[in-house]
This record gives sequence, C-alpha cells and structure tokens, in this order.
Amino acid sequence: MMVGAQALMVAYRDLQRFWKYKWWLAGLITMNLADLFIFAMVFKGMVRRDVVPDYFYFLAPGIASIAAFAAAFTIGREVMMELRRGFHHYLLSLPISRVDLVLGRILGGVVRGVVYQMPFLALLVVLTGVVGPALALALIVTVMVSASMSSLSIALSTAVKSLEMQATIRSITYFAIFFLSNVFYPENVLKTRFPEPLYTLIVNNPISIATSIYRAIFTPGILHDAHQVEVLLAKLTLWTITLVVVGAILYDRNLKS
Amino acid sequence: MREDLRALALIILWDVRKLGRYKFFLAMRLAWFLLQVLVFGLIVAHMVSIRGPYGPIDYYKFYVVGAYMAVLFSMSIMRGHEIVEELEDGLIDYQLSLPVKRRVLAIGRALGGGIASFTYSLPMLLVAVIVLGVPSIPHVILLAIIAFLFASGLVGVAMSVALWLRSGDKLDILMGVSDSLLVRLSTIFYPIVALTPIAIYYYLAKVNPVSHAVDTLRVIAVPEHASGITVSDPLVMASYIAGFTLASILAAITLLERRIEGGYGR
Repeated sequence: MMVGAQALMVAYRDLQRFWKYKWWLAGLITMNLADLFIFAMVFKGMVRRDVVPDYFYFLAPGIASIAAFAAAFTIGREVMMELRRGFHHYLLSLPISRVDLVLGRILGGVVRGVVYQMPFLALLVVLTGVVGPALALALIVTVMVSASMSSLSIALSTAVKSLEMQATIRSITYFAIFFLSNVFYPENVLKTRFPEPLYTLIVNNPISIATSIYRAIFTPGILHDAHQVEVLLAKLTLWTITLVVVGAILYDRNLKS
Repeated sequence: MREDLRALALIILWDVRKLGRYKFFLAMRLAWFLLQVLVFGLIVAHMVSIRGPYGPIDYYKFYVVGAYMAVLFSMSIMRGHEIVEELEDGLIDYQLSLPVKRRVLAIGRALGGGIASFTYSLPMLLVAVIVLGVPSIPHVILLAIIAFLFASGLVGVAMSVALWLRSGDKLDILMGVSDSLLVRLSTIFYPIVALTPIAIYYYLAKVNPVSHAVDTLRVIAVPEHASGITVSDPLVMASYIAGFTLASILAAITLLERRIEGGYGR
C-alpha cells in the first residue's frame, strides 16, 4: 500500500473510535452551545460596551477554536490508554510503517478536530453571513490548530510513565490553554492584567492565534485588536510544525521503549 | 432502630472510604477551580459592570461563590456514574442482599455520597473562604452545612436518574447535557437581575435548585454583597434546598425499593 494511505487508515480508525465517547460528545456539544447561546447572551448585557461592544459575537469565534481544540486533544487520552494496556504492541505488529503509524495518530486528532468543529464553523457562517474564499482560510486554520493540539496532547501523553500523572498534566494543560487565551477576554484587557512576558505568551498560544484569525474572518467589526492575518498565520504555522515534530518524536520514542 | 442506625453508619462509611481513590481527580478539579478564581474571575470582573437594587455588584466575590458551587455540582453529579458502574459490576445487587433495609441503604448512599462530594470540595471551599474573607467561623460552618445538604440532594438526584435509566450510555448523555445546562441556567455565573432581559432563562434560573443553593451560600459568605440580588428570600431559599434534598432522597428510596430488580441494561 502507498505510504500515506496507511496513515489515513490509522486516522480513519481514530475517527471511528471518536463516536464511542457519547457522554463526552453530548456534554461537549451542549457546553459549547450553552456557552454561546446562554453564557454569551447573558454576558452581553453585563460586559461593558467600551470593553467589548457585543460579547455574543466576540465569543462565537472563540467557541469554534475551543471546539477544534477539545476534539483534537482527545487523541492523547487514547494514546495514553493504549500505552498503558500495551495495545501499541499490536499496532506495531501491523504491516504499517512506523512513520505512517505516528503520522496517522496525529492525523486522527486533526480529523476529530475538523469534523467536530464543522457545525460550529457553519453556525458562524449563519450568524455572520460570511461566505467565499475566507472560509477556505478558516478551514486551513482549523486544520493547523487541530494538528498542533493533537500533537501536543500526544506529546503530553507520552512524556511521563504514570497514567494518573499523565491525566493530571493533560487536564492542567487543557485548562491552562482554555483560560489563558483570548477566547473569553479581549487582548487589551489581558494586557492590563498580566505582566508583559505572560501576556505575550497568552496572545501567542495556538488557540489565541486561531481565535484572532477567526475573529478577523467572521467578526472583524467587533473589536479593535489590530492583527495582520499573514503574521498570525505564520505564527500558527510555526506552532504547528514545532508541535507536530515534538509530538511525533515523543510518540515514536515511546513506541520503541 | 439501633440496628438501622448502625447499618446507616456503615453504608455512609463505605462511601466515604472511597475518597482516597480520587487523588488525581481532586488535583484536576483544584487546578480548574484555581484557574477559574485566579484568572477567569479576576479578568472578567474587570470587564463586567452590573448593578443590583442597592448599587454596583462586586462581580469577583459573586463569581468565586459560583465557581465553588460549579465544582460541588459536578462532583456530586459524578456519583450517578459510580452508581451505574456499581450496577454493571453487580455491587448494587450485592448491597441489596445485605441484611439492611432498602430505605436505609438509599439514605446511606445519598448521605455517604453527599459527605464524599462535600469532602472533595473542601480544598476549594477553603480557598473561597480565604479569598472572600468570610466574616466568622459560624458562617463557615453554616456554609459547610448548606453545601453538604445540597450535595446530598444532588447525589440523591444522580442516584435516582441512574437507577431509573439503568443504562450507562443514556446516563452519560443525560448527565453531560444536564451538567452544562443546569450550571449555565442558574445564578452561578450571573445574578438573577442579569437574566431579566431573556424571560425564559430568567424563569428557568428562578426554579433551578442550583440558583437557590448558590445564592444561599452568597448570603452566608458575603452578605453585604448579596442583598437584593438573590433569587429569593434567604429563608425561602434554605427551605427550597431542604425540600429539594428531602425530595431527591425520597425519590432515590422509591426507585431503590421498586425498580432495582431486573439488572443492568445498556
């Protein structure tokens, strides 16, 4: 079989397994929708207009980022459980090259992120009426943010031996990226609340970058955070390449040991 | 009667003894809570401006109590999953074969689960007490009593739903959905006055027991910041929580007595 096609098969298997988590998916979909249609709608009346003119439209692109992030991040849990149960020995015995297996797992996370996020991107299109070539850019961003989060999750799941410690590290990283991003708060507020180095880190994490690009595409008139989309894309590409390489190396190292 | 009390104590102890299993789960919840209180709450309080009938609301103090309630809620609801796992493993059948009245078993499981959930939430309660500067020890004790009562009620609900559905998959979906909706359609994150522009959300939050519990905690923890912004009068809210807890435990008793036979079904 062609190199690459095998990686796609591995990714397809990961997508099939994704639908197994009914509770998690039901909870996540409800949480994402409730965050938008309840939390953001109510907060719209509470947030000062001079800080965010319309919190509903401000949060909507962030919810799309979080959706891709959360779905892509699930792949790390699978990898963690497989390593614990020794299931990776079975995977290694298959007639698939090591490169295809490693890339297939990362791709599995990407596919989960893209598939799960699609309805939220469609919702953004309905809410904002944005159509055309900008949607292709949004899709590219989705692929990149999913790839970086999938790789990060795999890297964390192979970084330490203890299962409990892995789960704790993954959860804390998830919460940290979730809350320490620009999804819920505008960057000018973040700038006043954090020291410069931490602020720089927060606005340059992959979720913040993706959110900024989605905002530039779907809700450009809501805030005045000035960003050049080309620069943001370059930063996200750099993150994606770095995290994919690190994730692949760490997963490969763990498969060998 | 004495035998019943002894059995009740043993069942409660059995639930409480499982505490040690969830060290890492507790660490994750604590991390989530600290990020909510020290990052999200502080930043959002800077962005928000909301007035109650007696002036501006201190959103940060309002939010810290809400974040604690969110943790207590999800820890208590998690008990439903444990019950289903126990059904799957045949542990409930084993417990039913014990020389213990079903009524005692149901009360014991609800109270034991309530104590366990409340105990898990203690580190978060301590952080909240320090951050809020709760005025006195009696106030802290009252906070603990209300939190424990409400946690027991929630465990009763989780048990009832688990015993009613008797299916891990159905329970997973229902709990996932209700966890998100009950928390957001309550006064955990926003005062009831903020919900008035959206009538459906306002009335749902008004009848949601979570709103009554979190606002009662606010009245006790930060009375000067809670006046005029709660869903109801403090005495009415306390009665609502007591009624909710009693009703949910009675529901669990009824279901345990009538519906438990027939095994587990996916």
